[in-house]
Amino acid sequence: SGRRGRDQDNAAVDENNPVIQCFREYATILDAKHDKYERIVKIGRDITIESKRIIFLLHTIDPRQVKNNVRKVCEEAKERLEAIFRNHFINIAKELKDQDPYQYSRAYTNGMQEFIEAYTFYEYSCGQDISNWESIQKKLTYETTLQETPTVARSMKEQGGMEVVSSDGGLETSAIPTTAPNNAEQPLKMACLLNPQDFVLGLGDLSGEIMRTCVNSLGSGNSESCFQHCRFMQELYKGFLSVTAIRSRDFSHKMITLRQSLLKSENVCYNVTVRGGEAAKWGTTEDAAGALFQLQLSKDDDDEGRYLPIGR
Amino acid sequence: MQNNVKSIFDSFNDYLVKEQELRTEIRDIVRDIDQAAKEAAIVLQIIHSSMADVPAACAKARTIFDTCREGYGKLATLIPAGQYYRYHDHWHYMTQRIVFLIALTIYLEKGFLVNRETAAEILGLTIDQQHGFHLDIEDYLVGILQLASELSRYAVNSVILGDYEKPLMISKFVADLNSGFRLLNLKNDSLRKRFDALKYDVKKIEEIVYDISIRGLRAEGAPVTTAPVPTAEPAAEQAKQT
Repeated sequence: SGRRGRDQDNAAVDENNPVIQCFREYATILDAKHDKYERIVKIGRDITIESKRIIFLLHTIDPRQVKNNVRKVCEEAKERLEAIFRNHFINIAKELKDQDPYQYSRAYTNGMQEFIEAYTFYEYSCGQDISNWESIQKKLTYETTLQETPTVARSMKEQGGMEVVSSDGGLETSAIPTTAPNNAEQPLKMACLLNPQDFVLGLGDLSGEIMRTCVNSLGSGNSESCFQHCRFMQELYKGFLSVTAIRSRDFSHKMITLRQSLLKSENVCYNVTVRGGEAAKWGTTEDAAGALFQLQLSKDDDDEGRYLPIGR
Repeated sequence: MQNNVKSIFDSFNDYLVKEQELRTEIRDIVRDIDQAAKEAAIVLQIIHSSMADVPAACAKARTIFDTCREGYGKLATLIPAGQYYRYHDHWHYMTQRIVFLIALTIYLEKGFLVNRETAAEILGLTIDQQHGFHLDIEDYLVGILQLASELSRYAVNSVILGDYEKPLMISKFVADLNSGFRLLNLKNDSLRKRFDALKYDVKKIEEIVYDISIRGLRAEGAPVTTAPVPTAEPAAEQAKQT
């Protein structure tokens, strides 16, 4: 790269020097690690984008129309979520095979959180109970079938090849033959680790979507469902409050946002109760508090990237 | 509807409590190892004030590394397979420092750079994460960078103690290290930041070599094998001036 221009002119590196030989080896190891990290980051970014789009899709659910809409949207969302398991997470799982997943968990934590948000929002919007992370983790655990083994074996060989350069071929004999028979006999298990913390942070993001749903259903005159949404968010908030032993700055951040979303939906329910559904719809836009409330809503849209699906 | 929110958070809290308990255990062990490492660091300080006591200090440090090794053995049994990096933050500073102490000891004894494999062996670790508790490569490299800083101080003090040959050896050694590190493609992370400080250590040691050379304090037969860097730099400077 560019900043290395200077070393290339005095390229009089003594290859016989044992220090240089050691560092050549370290360089291969570091490069392999960084490359893997970058590949996972890339997959994670794709997951983020698709998850945001699915969330946007789920917001188009409108129960006023014929029931068709709900079922159609749910089916499409489900299909697209399954596709993320099939096409994206499996690739992360491949990358994480035989690795310590925690070493790379930061590479896909954003994608995972966004995905959890989309997945739980799908479940919520389509009337199912929210999954626990264990059941999602199960879906993130793959057993490679015979058809898939060639690709796995190839990527393993690439990896092995890098390491073989450094150690005197000892790896080659140990790594490849031991895995190859395994492929034939029993399916290989690989998994994309779902960190429970990512799951809970994803649930925190879910609150923002529910708040939006709550406000939307007020707008569309479906004011009874506002109370349901609101109750769910209270439940969620209670859950977040019960968490004590966490060492995460993100978590307290999410907590503040969750509280704001909760207050907004409670305010919606309050207006419905006091003025009745139709009046509340006008009320929230006209009085001063309502205007401020609308302003905050539009500000919140930025970070969700709904109108700019490519996002940060 | 949605009665399971509470159960989700209950199991999340269970998960956190279990993790917390393990972290407490880890912290206790890490504290013990750290304490031992501190002793080794104190013992090795003698190199800055007395040449004669260096071999004894190295021997003492070696016995302390055995204590560290026991501690790492305990850590290794505590950490579940495949979760090394989940708890890595508890021991990575400490490991960097111990690698530095090992590298210093071996440099003082034998005059060469300990490689990652040997350093891992001294601590009873592996170098391959698939074979168990291992020595992270970046921890090793940061430890080596700390060695360079200590050696620049050692160079100053060996001059004070009347040894004019040491700085030349150190200069050669650190120049090798420097060219080694230049082979790495470093990301913009903590290792990179630490590496950026290496040039100041190199410069410091070169200045000492310069001071010695210009006053003819070097022993007569000393070979003129200072690294290409010090000769290249003044040349570039001259070129700029003309």
